[in-house]
Amino acid sequence: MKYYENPLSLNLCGIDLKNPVIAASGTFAFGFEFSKLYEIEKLGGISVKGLTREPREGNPSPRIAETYGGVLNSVGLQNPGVETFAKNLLPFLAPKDIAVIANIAGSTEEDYCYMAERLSSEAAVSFIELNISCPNVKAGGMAFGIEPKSVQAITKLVKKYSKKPLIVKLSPNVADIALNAKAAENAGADAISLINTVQGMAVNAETRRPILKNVFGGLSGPAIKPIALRMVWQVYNAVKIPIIGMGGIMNETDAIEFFLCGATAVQIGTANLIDPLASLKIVEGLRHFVERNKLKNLQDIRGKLIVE
Amino acid sequence: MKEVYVNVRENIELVKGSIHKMVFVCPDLPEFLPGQFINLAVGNYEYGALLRRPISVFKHDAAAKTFEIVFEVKGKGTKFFSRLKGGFLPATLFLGNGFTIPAGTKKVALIGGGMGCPPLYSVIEKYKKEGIKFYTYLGFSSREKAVCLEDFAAVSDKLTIATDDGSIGEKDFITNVFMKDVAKIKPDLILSCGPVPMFRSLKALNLDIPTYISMEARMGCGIGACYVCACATISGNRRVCRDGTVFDIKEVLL
Repeated sequence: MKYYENPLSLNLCGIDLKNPVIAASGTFAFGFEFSKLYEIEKLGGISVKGLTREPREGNPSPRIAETYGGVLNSVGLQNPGVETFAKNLLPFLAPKDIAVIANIAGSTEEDYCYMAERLSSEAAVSFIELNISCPNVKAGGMAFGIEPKSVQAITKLVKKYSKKPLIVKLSPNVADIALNAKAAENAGADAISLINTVQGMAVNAETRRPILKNVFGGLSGPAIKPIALRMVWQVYNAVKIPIIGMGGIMNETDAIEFFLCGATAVQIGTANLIDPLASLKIVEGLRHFVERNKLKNLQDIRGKLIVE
Repeated sequence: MKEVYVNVRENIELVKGSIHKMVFVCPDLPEFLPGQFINLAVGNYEYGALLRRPISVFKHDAAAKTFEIVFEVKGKGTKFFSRLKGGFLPATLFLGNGFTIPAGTKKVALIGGGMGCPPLYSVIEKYKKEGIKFYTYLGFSSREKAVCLEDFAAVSDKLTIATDDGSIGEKDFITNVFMKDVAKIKPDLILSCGPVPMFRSLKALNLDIPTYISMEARMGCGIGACYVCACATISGNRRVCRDGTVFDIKEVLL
């Protein structure tokens, strides 16, 4: 089907996507495992596991706790490093008709710039997602994403080194999300993705100990969806660049709520862990939704939330 | 691996309020390696327990399209499973690298601890017909929790039991009991599944016999995509669900 004939298709920062459903970073690795269960090309895109300049082992175990309606994780960016990704893992995704978003997380400004430049030289990478919102690493990560000033500074700097559209992934653990989004936009971000996980903790009442070895973790899953919807709506009303919404999307109805609040595309994270076919089912569900509502394109409902 | 629906055929309470055996039917049953596990959905996730539960397989029957699991009721997921009388559950099967026995192996010692015992049955089930002798050592806290003994007795060449309180078998750690026999039976291979302290004792025996252990961890996806279930090894963190669950005992930092 041609791009313009497909009612789920969209253009995101100049790049055509066959649908707005993207696997979220950290829940889909580099696509290989899920490709054993279904054709991952049926998704619009994949945001790969957060990459760092050097390989990282992540945090000590346990790194996951189940909470009411949510999942708390403290993986801490375990990944093989940007070079191994480019040489050994990207070739698996390269021939596939799927937009690859390289999610990068640095400990220093220099790390971010290095990775943005390195990955810009890879034809198979469509977007770079600036992860300044990981709550599970001490240096870097969320430290760059809290104050609007530092969001602006890091975005402006990395933009110089990125030849691909730059998506800035925002943390919800901030005072005013709209200010941070505007800071990213002013600094030249091509799109905003939000929300990363909400910082939290879980306690075992019997052992009187935190469940996560790291004590704190990032909360995801349906428990955070209301926070995510509120923030997407606030950001939609504050910036002009496209928004990729995420936070607890479990099915197509959840996804549609994000589109109504102004998202151009969505990322599916925790749902991939709960039902490995979730992302695929959401694509199918959205197709039924456009048919049922006789929409020419799903984008027609973007930001059409009725607030009386 | 495959994403399927499994049909609950039987749910048997082996130990009152604690250990259950469930028999599932699955018309689309994938290939299975002993020691592999399933990632079983806790019904409809909208009721609160979001993550799937990874549980090892006890028995597998390719011809009958059935498999069995044995689990202890610990939290809300296993409590939910324990109440099921029938119906269908989404599951991903079968996961993990499983136990393999190299060609030419003649004698295998199986060492299980607690809920780590049932998965070892699937090893004998698969390899028994190849003429391999199995010396099975199972450790439990007490007689009350010592499940599946008849099953193991029927297929093992020798079954030895130990309990913490001596209520059945020897009153000792199963690794100590095994140590007393090892010179006599001279196994070519040791396969083990159980708690980490048991693996530590096994490693401390310092035997010059290839030893493989099946690790347990809190998992996210179960298929290797989320990097949650890390196991520290001499070559860094590995994924229990995909790089394991079976590792060489020499590689794991216990």
